[in-house]
Parts: sequence; structure tokens; C-alpha cells
Amino acid sequence: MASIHIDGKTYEVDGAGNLLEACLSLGLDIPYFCWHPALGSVGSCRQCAVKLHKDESDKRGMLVMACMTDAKAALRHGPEHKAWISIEDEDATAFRKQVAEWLMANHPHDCPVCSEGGQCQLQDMIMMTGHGQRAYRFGKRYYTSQNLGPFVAHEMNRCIGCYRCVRYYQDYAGGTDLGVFGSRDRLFFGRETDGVLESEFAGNLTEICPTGVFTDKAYEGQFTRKWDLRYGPGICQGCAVGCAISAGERYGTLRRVENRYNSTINGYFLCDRGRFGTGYVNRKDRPRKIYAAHGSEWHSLQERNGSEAVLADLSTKLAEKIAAERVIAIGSPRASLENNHALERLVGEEHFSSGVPEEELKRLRFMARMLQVAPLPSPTIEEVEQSDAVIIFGEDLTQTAARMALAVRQAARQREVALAQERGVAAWQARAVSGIGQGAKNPVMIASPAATRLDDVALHTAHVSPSNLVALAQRLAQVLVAVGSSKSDAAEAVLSDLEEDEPWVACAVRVLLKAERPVLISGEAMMSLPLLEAVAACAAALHQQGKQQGRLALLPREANGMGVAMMGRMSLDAAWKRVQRGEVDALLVLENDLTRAFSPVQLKQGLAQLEVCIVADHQFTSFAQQADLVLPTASFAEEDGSYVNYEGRVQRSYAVFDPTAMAGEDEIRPFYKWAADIRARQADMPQGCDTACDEEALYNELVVDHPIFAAGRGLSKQCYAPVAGERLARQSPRASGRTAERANLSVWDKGYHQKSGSGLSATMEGYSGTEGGAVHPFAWQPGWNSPQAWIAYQTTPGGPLKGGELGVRLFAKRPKNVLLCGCDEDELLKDSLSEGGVAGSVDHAAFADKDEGEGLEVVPLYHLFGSEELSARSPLFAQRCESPYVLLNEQEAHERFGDDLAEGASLCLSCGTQSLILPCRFSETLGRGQVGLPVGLGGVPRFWGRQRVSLERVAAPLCEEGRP
Amino acid sequence: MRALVQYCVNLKGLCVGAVTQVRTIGMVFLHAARKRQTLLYPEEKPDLAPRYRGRPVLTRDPNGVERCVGCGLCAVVCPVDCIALQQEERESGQWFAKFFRLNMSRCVFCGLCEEACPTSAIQLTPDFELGEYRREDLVLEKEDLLISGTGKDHSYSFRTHIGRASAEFGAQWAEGDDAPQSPVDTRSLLP
Ligand code: SF4
Ligand code: SF4
Ligand code: SF4
Ligand code: SF4
Ligand code: FES
Repeated sequence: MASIHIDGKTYEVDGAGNLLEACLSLGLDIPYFCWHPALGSVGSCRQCAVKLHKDESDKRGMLVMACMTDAKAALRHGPEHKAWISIEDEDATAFRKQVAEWLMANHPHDCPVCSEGGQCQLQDMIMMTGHGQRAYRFGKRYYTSQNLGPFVAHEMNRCIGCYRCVRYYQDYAGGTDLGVFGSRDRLFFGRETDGVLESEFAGNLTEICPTGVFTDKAYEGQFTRKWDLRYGPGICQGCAVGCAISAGERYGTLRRVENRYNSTINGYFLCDRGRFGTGYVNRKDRPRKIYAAHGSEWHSLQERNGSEAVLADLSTKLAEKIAAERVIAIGSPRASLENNHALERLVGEEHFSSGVPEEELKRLRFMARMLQVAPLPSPTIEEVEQSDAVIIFGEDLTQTAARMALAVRQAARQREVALAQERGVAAWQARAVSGIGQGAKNPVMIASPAATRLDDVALHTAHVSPSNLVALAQRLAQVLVAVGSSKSDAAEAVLSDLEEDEPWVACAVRVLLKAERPVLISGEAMMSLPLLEAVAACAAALHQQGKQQGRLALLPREANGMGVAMMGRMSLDAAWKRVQRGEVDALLVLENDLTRAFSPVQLKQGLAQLEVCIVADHQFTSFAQQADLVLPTASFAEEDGSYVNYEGRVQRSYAVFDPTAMAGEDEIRPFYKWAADIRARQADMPQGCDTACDEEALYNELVVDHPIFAAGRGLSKQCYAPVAGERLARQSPRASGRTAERANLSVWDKGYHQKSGSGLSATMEGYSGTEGGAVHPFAWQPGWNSPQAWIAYQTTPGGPLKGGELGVRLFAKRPKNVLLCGCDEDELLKDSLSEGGVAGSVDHAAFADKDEGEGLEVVPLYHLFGSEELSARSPLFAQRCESPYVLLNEQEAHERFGDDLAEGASLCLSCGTQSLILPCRFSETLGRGQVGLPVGLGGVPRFWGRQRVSLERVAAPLCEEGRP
Repeated sequence: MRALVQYCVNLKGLCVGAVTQVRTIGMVFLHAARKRQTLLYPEEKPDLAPRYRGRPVLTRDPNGVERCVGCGLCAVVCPVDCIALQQEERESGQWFAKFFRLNMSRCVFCGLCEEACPTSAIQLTPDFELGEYRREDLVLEKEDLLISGTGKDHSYSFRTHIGRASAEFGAQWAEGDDAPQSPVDTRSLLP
């Protein structure tokens, strides 16, 4: 600790970071542009000038850029580890004001028509500098802006040339298609020509750019000022990473998704699926009322008056069926724990299925088990960023868990930081770091069936078929064990032997042995349990080598896959078998599109056996369209719910808005409320569940049945106002229009419904400071309207939140001797560790193209835009989703179908009675004997993944799916 | 002595009081003969200054284009929160109000919206005749608010000054005498 004197006051600082960081974390305002907590300093905008004095008596001092001045150096500058600086000094203030004026010289007169207005760092900083009147009287330059695709709008006239966009896009996110052009005052930040930004993380430009050059285009059709949005602290539903988001509503529709800062998971960045993929919430064709299909005998809505009667009918009939044990309920990995549990309680656990297909459920259970017993714990995203070696098995991370891919890029970049630190240069010195590092990278190794979007940072990629991938991982574990137990010369000999035949394995072993914090990543992508087991074996081997700092990340497919697996009920296949056998009269499906899991034939067989099929969903999925009755449920934006992410972290997502507030007749309700209503009727209890449906009470009920989730109790304590009797405000103190927004419906003002028992207030009334728990609906502090306001919530800029970590890791406490905890997985790991030395077990055959069975092996492929069910329903994604295709090895395609086969020609995939006709594409990386098929994309059912198929050329132009 | 002084003072007060009373009564009677200040509303209409703060309207710019860009500044400044609006972006890249709702039953005619409006779109007019039989009818939508003239500000056209309009209005937005006539050549590397 040292003391620093700022404008006559004394503060204690630890001397880490630069002066700007030190001042900001003390709560002192200094304007800045080019510095960003995630990007470090380059000192290019000259906005953050302060005066540095030698000692108390030095009146003259010198102007320094706070962001470029090492706090330690400043302390050394003065005697006895004290520094005297002045922010309010006349020279410094005048300097900053002048810099602001010159940055503004060409800035247009745009604030009222700029979608950055109200959350603009430029506005904030200009207010901070006090610049109010322009002296420059001459014409302003202007640019032709570009069309950068459906997500990001471009308005180059507003640029102040801080370079944050290119530093983020190129250096941080590894994008190549956005750069800076021109010279002197003609700088242009954009693409070479108009076109869609290629990076999957382009949406972050809207928050990185301090001005309105890059703004959220998705938001443009429904723009609302930040001060008018009603925010809900949500959890992204896009994948199993579970990033924290701030979702904003106005007039009853979801308007915008912003990043919600936390240091352990998403930091400052989201992927574009999470940021732009929530349009499904606003779809016009969502079920909004109880909807009964015509011609259903069970009940016909036509003759009854309204949903009351239907609900009464439903309750009695369901009770009968439950008593007769002739009901099956199917949950969903995309529904919250609370909703799944409500369904389970409604029908009883023996009739509840997790809604995950048998094989996938096995893999999910394995992942869940690994969280408890794996030799290495699962990394947070932050830990991935800090790791010094990453090995990825089978995942195209950028498409399946994009935020983690961004973290892997940072892991690679950490090498530069490490090199700089060896030379005494701090990590925040961005230019110096890249100058010293010269592009050096930490090793990232990828083994996958075809090229991935991370190949550009990879040290070594191996393209092998899914089955060979297993062999490769097993081999890696074997060699690791063998090399680890032999002397170093012997190990070296073994490795150089391997070098020729199995270069990837040899390289991976070297990398792993050298690394201190290696991370192994695999997951659901290859739909292979043996692969997960083999990767876990690698982790065990690493553990044996003393790499306790190593981490093992296994990624499920959906937001709550880990959660439903932990609930541990029957699989979807088991449930469907019972349906097909006719053991069931009533089927209740919660937020699950079964057409994505089963073939049309299987579905038809099952549905034919039923008396009634009830679907509770917030989307009219293909399956919901076949149901007799649809209950309109709430999407994540309309309900509270808990989700478990890949690292076993339960996080709570809070409702953004009440769907009935603007359109009174809607019947959208969270499923747990429907369930509570039905149960109340059955038990002849008074209806309604406002008290029973308090989020904490629901979670506690869940814990009673599933003690595995016990650690997540009290999660609502992360969401509270530190002032007695107050709640956290979900609107800014300036929210407008409350006596007019509903006036067209009713001129009588109606207060917004405040949910009881919640730590959140639906309106601006409440606490909006920086203290409290880890949950903050949005970032705003006086004078700080832009996302830069997060600095006020952090202990140090870019560091942990004052309120602590978000969510709770269920298995934070791990058994000491993880390999001996008496479970099945033990045996597996021990087996893989005890296999003989390398020499004896070099099994090259494992890598030869095995010809097992007939036909070609289907390799599942993934797309960030389109593979995930809900986001693919966002209208905005239509422009970015590709249509389904089959991917073939180019040579093999020509050999099979002749040289005239061109890309786009139709091929027919068949497997048993199923077939698909799709246009073909060629790949240079996909091996022979495989066809790549983007499962999920355009509704291609997942059962195609890992099947063996035959392929023939057809003349027909495009597909009808599932021809019988 | 003291008592005598006190007596004289009281006597003087009494006389002055009596005279002012009489004077006041006289003046009252005089006023009865003066010209009336009140009007026989509604037969007679008052003559109000243009700056009188009555019914808010939305105006058009000199080119006849709606001035309101839907920025929301009037709504945020309104002390009774009686303005709700939604912005939309049209083909040209220009912003307009998709809907603009003003709850007149709440408006306190403070004029802050007019002051905050960067485009001179919303202006308070001398129209004070706002009575309605149904409260619902006091909720005014954009169609009800929009007039076809420029209101008090006859010349300003915000739309031609914004950076977004540079493609449409060229140098005009840039304001200065030596405003550039063409967009920046971003391919040029000349010093
Ligand atoms: S970038 Fe900021 S300062 Fe510039 S026009 Fe937009 S809101 Fe105003
Ligand atoms: S576009 Fe934005 S981030 Fe990039 S240089 Fe201009 S102001 Fe900075
Ligand atoms: S005059 Fe005052 S109260 Fe009326 S709309 Fe304008 S700001 Fe609101
Ligand atoms: S009336 Fe003026 S202040 Fe209000 S939204 Fe329109 S342009 Fe903005
Ligand atoms: S923030 Fe310090 S020079 Fe830009």
C-alpha cells in the first residue's frame, strides 16, 4: 500500500495498473476514450491528461496521460512512495477541454437521431470535460458509411478515431475484415467494401465503440433510449456457457440485449447469437392464449367459453390420467429448473422425462458426474482466458460455445503478455506488449473432423473422423501416462519416435507437459460418449503429472442441459417408447420440439396412441402445431428461472417484463404458474400462486426433491438492494412516459405489477447504486450512461464485481482424492491410466481410416446462427442462417459422382427408411468416408448425427424433409 | 404625558383609517363605471400572445416534412411523464415518430417539452380549449397533434443538419462556408 495525493486528498492505493485505473477505481472521474479495461492503453486519444507533481512543493508539475503512466512509476516519481497528482489542475482541465473540442470538430449534430444517444461515452466524456461551445466554424468532413449486415449499423461521420474498434476486432476477437483505412484526418474504420461483418463477435463493437459509429441494428427498428428501457438481469439461452445479459423491454416487447458484466464468465463480451438472437420473444405467431386444435375430442374450446373451462377440464382429466398412471410428461433442456420441476411434481417423477434423448442424456450425466469427480475441475471462462495451453477435441467452439472460443483466443494471446511481463512490461501496455510479443501465441491444439473457426490461432490441427477422434484422445492419455512415468531422455525418445506417425499427439504431449495451466475442452458436438471418456482420461493423466492447475471443460448443447441431466429422470427415448407402446393416454410436453429429436414416422406412431397431446411452449414449434392443446408459456424474458451451465454453476435469470401489462388479454404465464393452477384445482385449493411462485420458494421445493441443487439455495441473495425496504430499480431514474404508455388502452393509470418477494422493482423506484449483490439489472451511474459505467461496480477496472461472483457453483467443493471416490467413472479413469507403456501399445491401426459398416459416417456440423432452435426463430437471423447442406470431401465426391458434380448439386442421404435431399458442398479438410451434416440447421433432426448413411445423386432440386 | 401621546397617535390612526375606507369604497364605485376586463367567453375569444402555453402540437419544417425525429427528449423532460413515443427509421435513414402519444389529461403546460425539443417540433400553442366529455378523448395521438404549418419557428429544419443526412443534403449539413462538397476519399494516402 502506498498513498497517492489527488487534488489535496490522500488515498491509499496498491500501485497496480496505471493512474487512470487507479483514479477510476477510487471513484474519481477522468475522461478517456482509447483505454478500455479489456483492451489496455495505447495513449492515442490524449483525453486522460492529468498533472503529475514531484512533491508537495512542486507547483508546476507535468502533464501526463493517466492511462500511460504506471501507478508504480508515479509513486516512485515522488518521495517515500507517495505521488502527488492533480486532476482538477487548470492546465490539465484546459488541455482535456481542448482535446475534447478537437475530437468534436467534425462530429455531426446527431445526438437526437443517434441510437447511441443516452448511452454514449462521447456524450458522457464531453460533459465531463465541460466542452460546450465549438470554436471551429468551418465545414465538417463527411463519409459514406457502409452496410455491415443485419446486426451492426455503421455511421462513420460520428467517429473520433480512438481505434478501439480495430483493436477489439482484430487483436481481441481475431477478425480480419474490419480495419482502418486512409490517412491523416481521413481515417475510415470499416470494411474494405460493404458486406456482412464476418466475426461472430461483431456485436460487441456496439459497446466497444465509445460513439455511435457502430450501433445495434437489431435494435434500430425498435429503438428505445436506454433511460426508457425496463431491464431484467437475464442469463443467455443460446448455449451452455450461460453468459449474463441485461435485456431491455419497452411497450411490452423485448428491445435489446446488452452485456451484463461479470469477471468470471462473459466479462465485457457476448457472442452475436446471444446479443441478437432473442427475436423469438417478440414473434407475432407466439401462442398467446390457450389454443385448442379443432376436432379434438378431449375438449373443444369452441363450445366452451374461454380458457377457464378448458383449464378446469384439463385439471380434472389430467388428475384422472395421473391416478390411472397413464400420463407422460416431457421436460426440456431449454426450460428452467423450476419449470421442469413443476412438471415433474405435476405428474410424479416416474412419469417425467428430462426430454433429452437417451444417448445424449448419458453424455450429459457423464459431464455432470465429471463436475463432481473428474480429476480436474471445470474452468470458468476467465480461467480459460488465463490458461497457457488449450486442447480442443471435436468442437467447433465458435459455433457451439462461442464465448469460450473468444476466451481461447485470449489464452493464445496471453503468450505476448507473458513475454512482456518477463521484460517488466505490464499487461495493460497494449502496444508494448504486442511489440514485444510479435504475435507469439500460447499453444492451442485442435482435433476435429473439419476446419473450425479457431484454426487461425491453432498451433496444430488434426482433421480426423469422429471415431478416430476417440482413438486420438485415448492415445494422448496413454502417451501422457507413459511419458510421465519414464525418465526425461526416454520420454524424449518416445516423443521423437511419435513425431513422424502421430505428430499431433506428440505435439499435444509436449504442449501439455510444458504448460502450467492447460485446459482440455470437449463436449456434445461429436455426440460421442467414448470421446468424453477419453478426454476425461487425458485429464486424469494430466492430474497424475501433477498438473493440478489444469482444467477440463465439457460442454453440453443447451442452456440447461446440465440441469435436467442432474435431475436424473428418464430419457426422451424411454418416454417415447412408452407412448408408442400405448401405455399412455395423455402426453404433456414442456418447451420441447420433438420433431427435432424424432423422425416423422416415429412421431406419428406415438401420437396415434394418445388421447391427448398437450404442449406448453412459448413458440409454435412444428411439434406444438400437432398438439391438441397449447398452453402459452413465458420465455426467459417473462419469467424467473434457474439454469445450470457447463461448469455446474446455477444462475438465476430474472423476468424482464410482464407480458400482460401492455396487452391485457394475453394469457402468457410461466409454466410453473400453469402447473400450480392445475394442481390447486386438483387439490381443491384456492387458485393462484403469487406467493407460492416466489422464485426462492420454487427453488427450495426443487431442492427438496433434488438435493444435488442444494448449493444454489439463497441465490436470490445476490439480487438485493443494500438499503432496507428497497428493491433494485429495473429502470433508470429518468424513465419516461408512465402516464402515457398505456393511455391508448386505458386512460386510467395503472401501476406496473410489482412481483411480491422479489428483490427487483419493476420500475425506476428503488435502488440503483453500485453496492448490493452481484446482480445489477443494468449499468448506470450519474455522469456515466454508457456501458463504461460498469467500472463503478467493479473492485478494480476490469476486475471482479463488488457484489462477488454471479451464481453458485454446485460442486465448488471437490473430494480431495478425486480418483478414489467409489464411482463407476473411477474405474474408467483408472483403466485408462493403467494401460501399458507407449512402446507396447502404439496402435497405428487406430488411425487408419476404419471401414466399419456400410456407408458414410455422418459428422454433425454446427452454425452459430441456425443450429440453436430458439435463436434460429429470430426474424433477424433469417439473413444470417444458412440453409441445410451436406458437406463432402471434394476428391471423394468427384470419385463417387463424377467430375461434373458441382457444389449445390442435390444429393440424397438415406438411412433406413429416412432420407434427406440436400445440396452438397465440398470441403478440403473433411476426411473420406464422412459426410458433414449441419444438425439443427433448418430443422434437420438431430438423430441424423453419427448415423451411417448412403448417398446418391438425385435430380430433384431441393429437399422435402423426411420422405417416408 | 405618555398617555396623551398615545391618545393622539390612536386618533390619527383612526382618522387615516376612516379616510382610506371611504377612498376604497369610492374607488370600487369608480371601477363599476370602468371598461370590463373579463370577456364574455365563449362568445368573445381572448387575444393570447403566441408564447402562451396551451395545447402542445407537432409542427412541420419549412419543406413540409414532419419535424419530430422521435428522439424522446420531450418525453424524458416531461415532469408528469405524459408523452410516450416510438422512433422509426425510414428508407432514407431519417428518423420519424412511429407513434407519438400525449396524455392531455396529465399535461401541466409547463413547456419543458418545447424547450427540450432539438427540432422545434413540439410547440405549445395559445389554444386552451381542451374540454372533452370523455377522458379517453384527451389522449392525443400523432394524427391529432400534427399540424401542417411550422408553428412559431418558421425556418429551422433539423433534418438537413444531421450527419446522417450528409448523403442526401451533401454539404448543407456541414454548415461552414468551405464545407466539403464530397465525401472523404478514404483510399487516399496523401499527406
Ligand atoms: S455519437 Fe454520441 S455524441 Fe455523437 S451524435 Fe451520437 S449520441 Fe451524440
Ligand atoms: S469507429 Fe468508434 S471505436 Fe472505432 S475509432 Fe471511431 S469512435 Fe473509435
Ligand atoms: S407542457 Fe410540460 S407537462 Fe405538458 S407535455 Fe410538455 S413537458 Fe409534459
Ligand atoms: S417532439 Fe421534439 S423532442 Fe419530442 S421526440 Fe419529437 S423531435 Fe424529439
Ligand atoms: S485514454 Fe489515455 S490517451 Fe486515450
